Amino acid sequence: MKFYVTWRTSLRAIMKNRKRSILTMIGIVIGIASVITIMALGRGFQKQTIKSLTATDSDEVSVTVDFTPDDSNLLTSNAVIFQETDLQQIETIEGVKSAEYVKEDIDSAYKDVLIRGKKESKQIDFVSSTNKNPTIGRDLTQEDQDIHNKVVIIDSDTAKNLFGSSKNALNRAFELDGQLFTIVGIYPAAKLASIFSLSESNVYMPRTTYEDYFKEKQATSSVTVTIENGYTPNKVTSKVVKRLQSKGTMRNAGKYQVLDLSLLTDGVGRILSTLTYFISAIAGISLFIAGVGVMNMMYISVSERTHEIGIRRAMGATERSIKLQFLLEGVTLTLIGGVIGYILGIALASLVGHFLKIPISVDFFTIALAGGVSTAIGLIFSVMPASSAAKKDLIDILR
Amino acid sequence: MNTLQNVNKYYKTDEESLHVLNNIDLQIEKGEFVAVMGPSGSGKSTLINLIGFIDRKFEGTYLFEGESLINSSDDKLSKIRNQSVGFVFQNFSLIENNTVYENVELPLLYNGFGFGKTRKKVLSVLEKVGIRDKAKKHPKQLSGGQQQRVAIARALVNSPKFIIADEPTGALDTGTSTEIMELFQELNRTEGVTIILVTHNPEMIQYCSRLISIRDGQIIEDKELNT
Repeated sequence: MKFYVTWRTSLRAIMKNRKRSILTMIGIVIGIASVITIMALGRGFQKQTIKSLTATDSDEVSVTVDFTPDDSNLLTSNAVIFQETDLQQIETIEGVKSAEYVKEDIDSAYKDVLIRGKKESKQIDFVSSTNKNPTIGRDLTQEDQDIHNKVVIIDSDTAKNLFGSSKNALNRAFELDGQLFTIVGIYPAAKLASIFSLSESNVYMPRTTYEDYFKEKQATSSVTVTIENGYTPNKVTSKVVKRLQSKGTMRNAGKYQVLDLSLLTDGVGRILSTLTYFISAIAGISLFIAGVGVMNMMYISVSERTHEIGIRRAMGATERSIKLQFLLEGVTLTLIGGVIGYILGIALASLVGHFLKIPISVDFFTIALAGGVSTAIGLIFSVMPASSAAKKDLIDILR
Repeated sequence: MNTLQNVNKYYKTDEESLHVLNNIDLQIEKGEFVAVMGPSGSGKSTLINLIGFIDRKFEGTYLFEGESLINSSDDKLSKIRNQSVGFVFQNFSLIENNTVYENVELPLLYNGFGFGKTRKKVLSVLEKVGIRDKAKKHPKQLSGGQQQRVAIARALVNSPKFIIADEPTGALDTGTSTEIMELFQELNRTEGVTIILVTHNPEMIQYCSRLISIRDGQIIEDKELNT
């Protein structure tokens, strides 16, 4: 009998026992669906986490080389730690594309503000445009930006604390690190939604103004080294560190070190994937139980159809084709269950992912897993019933 | 075609050994319509199971077309059952949840035919036994006589060398039995099909060309019949 014909025969047997086939399949469907849901969500979460840890604008690999002095006072002094010569030294190393100071690019800062004789920390945002719609006074304008105007807008809470009421605060002076700014607008303070929500800024100031009065000198204690494509970052950075240890300007005052982000992301990724596999393995137990269900159903099917097996054998079915028929029956059953379970699992994962804001990840691995596992279950748990069907003595079952 | 020489068979239980077939010597030629008759327990079913390659556990020699198949593999025996033997049973032995068409198609599928290539053969053999219009019915929707016709169609579909019919009219009333026996006789005469029929009903032997009487595992009578 041709393979296809045997398979069609098996399929027909499944269809003719529809109720029992569906009940048997439910176990497989639930097992596969739960494993796929967990895998898709877990992998999606893992990817998202790693992506947020390694967010860079370009594809180039860059590492940060830090200097840790033996005497910590060195950092607060005005000493230049990485000097131009050091940067040139680094750039001569093979594989290094460029070396430059770490760019400081901050959008907000906490600064102490004197309120009724007490210092309170307030969040100040440096912005190029605002959209706060102050209730009193005006918003920051483009003109403020253009002329580096010494103005701020503050929220009503801060205004109340400083001057008693929002109205009183308009056009008064706001002192920040010894500099005076005019309060040109007061906007309503935001209510915190929960302790986890990002706090709203209390003070807004034109970015250009901030750059004029507060921007500090470039930090020289760390250097960003960009590595050329095609070079192994680890090798290049270790060369850089070695070169600095032997020739760096501050080699006698401390240590040069590399902050390796990839180690961190590797670790986090490994923890997350271990977690995913662990939970999947627990879900896999339900697959095993489903497999036993398949085996049970196959045994019942075999004993119920003893007479049919006898007829088929008398009509010329070999032991092998009987065995194949029951094996294919089991595998087809679990494979259909696997496909349904996969679709269900992905649907469930998308739903959960939608609510938890986790992108789900559908990759070839999960597809192969669903197909492979369900086929394997069908095979493993049908082998014994199928063999017992094939081994039946023809003379006994034809009576 | 089928030659049995000195065939013995025992059923062994714990206490006793039952001698079911005792020194059977038998020769069946092509085109014969043989009736094997005897009371219950005489060993006639055992004998034809042996002839039909269903039972392999016996002593002695069984040559089919000059060849002994006692040590053949399961694959070889299955192939011979499929291509050379047609079985008709007392209880019809149709697969209940398959249609008449699918039941008759079955031996063809095991003979390596694809689904697309069986239609002509199945329908012509159903025509031959007179139930072509019942092809889409399930066995349970048919009368006993019609079910036995399906079984005969199934036995015929691979054009076997011989047909083994184990009490084919045992479950049928007299009128239907006559129809079935006439069908067998017609197949034997017009198509030249060799038929080995087991029965314990003496009325049936009038259709046959040869009578073998068996009692307590021994052939007690073997004679040609003039029909």
